[in-house]
This record gives sequence, C-alpha cells and structure tokens, in this order.
Amino acid sequence: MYPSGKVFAIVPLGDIVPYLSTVNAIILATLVAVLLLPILSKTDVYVEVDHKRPKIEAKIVAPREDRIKAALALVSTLAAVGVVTTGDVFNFTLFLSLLGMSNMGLIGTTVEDDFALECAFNYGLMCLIASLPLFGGAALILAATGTLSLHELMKLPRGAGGWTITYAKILLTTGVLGEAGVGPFYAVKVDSFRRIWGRYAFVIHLTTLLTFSRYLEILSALP
Amino acid sequence: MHLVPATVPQLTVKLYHVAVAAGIAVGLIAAVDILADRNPLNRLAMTDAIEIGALTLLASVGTDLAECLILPGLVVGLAELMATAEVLIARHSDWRTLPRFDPLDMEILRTAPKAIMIGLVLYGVLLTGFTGGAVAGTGAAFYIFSRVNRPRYEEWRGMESISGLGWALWVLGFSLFFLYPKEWLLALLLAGTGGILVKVGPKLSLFGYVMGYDVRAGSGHVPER
Repeated sequence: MYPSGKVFAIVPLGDIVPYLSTVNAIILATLVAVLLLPILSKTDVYVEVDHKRPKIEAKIVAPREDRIKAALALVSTLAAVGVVTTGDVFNFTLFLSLLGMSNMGLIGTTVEDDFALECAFNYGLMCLIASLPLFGGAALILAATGTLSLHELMKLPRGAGGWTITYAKILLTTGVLGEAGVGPFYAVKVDSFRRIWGRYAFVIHLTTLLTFSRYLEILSALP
Repeated sequence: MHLVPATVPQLTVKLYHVAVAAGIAVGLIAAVDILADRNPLNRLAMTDAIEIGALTLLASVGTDLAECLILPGLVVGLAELMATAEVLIARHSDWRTLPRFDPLDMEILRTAPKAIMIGLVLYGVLLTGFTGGAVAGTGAAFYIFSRVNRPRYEEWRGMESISGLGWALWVLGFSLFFLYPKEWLLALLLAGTGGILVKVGPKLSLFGYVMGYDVRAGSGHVPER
C-alpha cells in the first residue's frame, strides 16, 4: 500500500503521523551524513585569486559568519528531516517553506557581498510566490478528499478526487519547484562552491534534491 | 464523493469555485504587477499580495481544519516576508544617509495616551485571555509609541520577570485543569486572567524595550530617547 516500501516505524502523534519507510530511511541517512560533512570538515582559510594582476589573498573567515551559516545549515537539515518523515501534506508544505527560508539565509548571510544579497532577495521572492501554489495545492487536496493525512490518502481509490486532485497536483508540483527546486540555481549563481562556505552549499543542494525525491513519493500516494 | 453535509446551502458550495478563482486571480494580478514594475520594494509588496491569494485558497475550504491551517500558513508567510525584507534592508539601507526627524512636540501627545492606555488596559482585563492580552498590550504599546520622551531601557527591565511570572501562572492553571478538574474556575482565572493576559500584555509592550536599542552594533547611530 505504501509506495515507498515497507514501513519501519510510526510516530503516533495525534493527527499527524510521521512514518519511516525504506525510501524515507535512506533519504534520512543521506541527510544526516550531509549534516556531518560541514561539522567534521574544518576549513577556515579563504584564498582569493585576482586574475588581472598576479595577486593571491588569503583571509581568515569571520567566525560569526561561520556560526550563522552552521546554525542555518542545521535548521535547513532539520526542516528536511521534517519534510522526509512527515505523514501530512500540509506539514510537508510548512517544512518546505522553512527549508526554503533557511536556504535563503544560507545564501544571504555572506558578509560584504551585495550580489549574494541580491540573489537571496530574489530567492526569497521566489519562495513567497511559490507559497501560493504550495498552500493552494494542499488546500485543494483538503477540499477534494476531506483529509490531508497521507495514511488516509493512500487508502482512497484512484481518481477519487476528480479534476480537483489533478489541478492540486499541478499546483503542488509548481510550489515544490519554486520553493526548493530553484535553491541550487541561486547557490550556483553566487558561486557558492568556490567560497569559504562551500561545505554549506552541499546542504542547500542535497536538502532540496532529497526533498524533491520525497515529494515524488507523496505524489504517488495521492489518489 | 460527497464530503459536504446536507445542511450547508448549495450557494455556499457553489461559491467555493468562485473563491478558488479569486485566489488564483489575486496571485496572477500581483504577478503581472511584479512584471510591470521591477522596483525591489514593489516586488516585495506584491509578493505579499500573492501570499494573501494563498490564504484565500486556504480559507475558501471553510472547515475547522482549514481554519487551523490558516494560522501556520500566515505565520510562515510572515516569517518569509520578514526574512526577505531583512535582506532588502541589508542590501539598500545606509544608516548615514537615512533622513532624521525631530519628534513632534504637541500637548495632546503627552496627555491623551495615558487616558487611552488606562481605558484599553481596563477593557483588556475585563476581556481576559488572548484577546484581552492583545487589547491591553496594544494600549501599553500605544502609550510608548506616542510619548515624546520615551522610557529608558532600565525602566522597562522588570517587564521580563513579569512575563515569566505570567507564564508560570499559565502553566499552573493549565496543569490544574488536568489534575483537579473540579477547581476549573480557579484554573480558568489563573490561566486566562493571570496567565495569558499578563503574558501577552507585557510581550506587546516590550516594543518599547526594543525601540531604545540600535540593533546594528558599531554603526554609530543611536536613536534619540
């Protein structure tokens, strides 16, 4: 019945029932590994190369920026854990918004860089715009089926919601693309891999990617 | 599938499609406005309008569950808006070139807020609970906002401990509901009047606390008290 394989554990938390299945567990393990990567690695010398005249600058990164980035990476990963394990469509959208916000912060907290701020602003606008199809899709699913719990939605027969569910799927996909899918593009735009916080760029890329693979599971669970 | 109970009139059921169309239309109009005017501030304001469209879609369902979903949706939208606005401020603001204004010195600003604050706080005590706390806190915040000589930071230091005491009262009243359900009136008074009112009131009046600060350390700009 569950499209993601065997269910290992269920957290009976009132209405919202998070669960852990085969696919979810793999995604979760990858996420924790990704979080361990910036914690274990310690690079604090920033080498800046100017190509116009031969000049190499080495500067120590400000510890305050690094701490903010670490905190935001932690929030981002926790939000991704919530996205992966949740058993409720609306919870999924809320965690996804949190994920988008913390990724925006990761891009925008680069010190003394106006272009990074510009990119973070555009990403924030994209997150805000994407929240219309995201929440709208969840609301349409609620209106069509009367429930938002994935455990209940899986039991419904195919085509139970009619055209509304199809429309909600389109809206939800647009929302997920706007909220998480565009994150890596902005991370690449500010050249994050070659910066000192490159190890946190991994967090942006992998949380958004794994979130999307989790969304595919939700999409197959919808009637 | 028939999800709508028979007691709901058909007109309300039919209005759902109109509400969904209105929500999508709000989003589209705001998106067109973003395309038309690329000014960053306008883009920010118009994305907030799109957020209102999302809330419209949520509200159009019109059940208890939808009502519960609006609050987190609103909070998440506000948080995203604040984060994006913070980025915009960090990008475009320059504290040295910001215009400065002298505070207006009018007698009504010194005398009227006191009376309005007393009235609002008394009305808030009568209301109790969240609403009362909000009303009382609004009164206190209004008093602070309209004063020419703002209270100094040290004078508001006690507010934190009052808020903490209010929280303790709320926890006490809440656990009393479960442990001794027969004492419900005492629990209600503790949680409603003593707890949430005292909790929410100081929280809103903490605005004055924040206003004395300059958050950006080292910028050299200290607002006048």
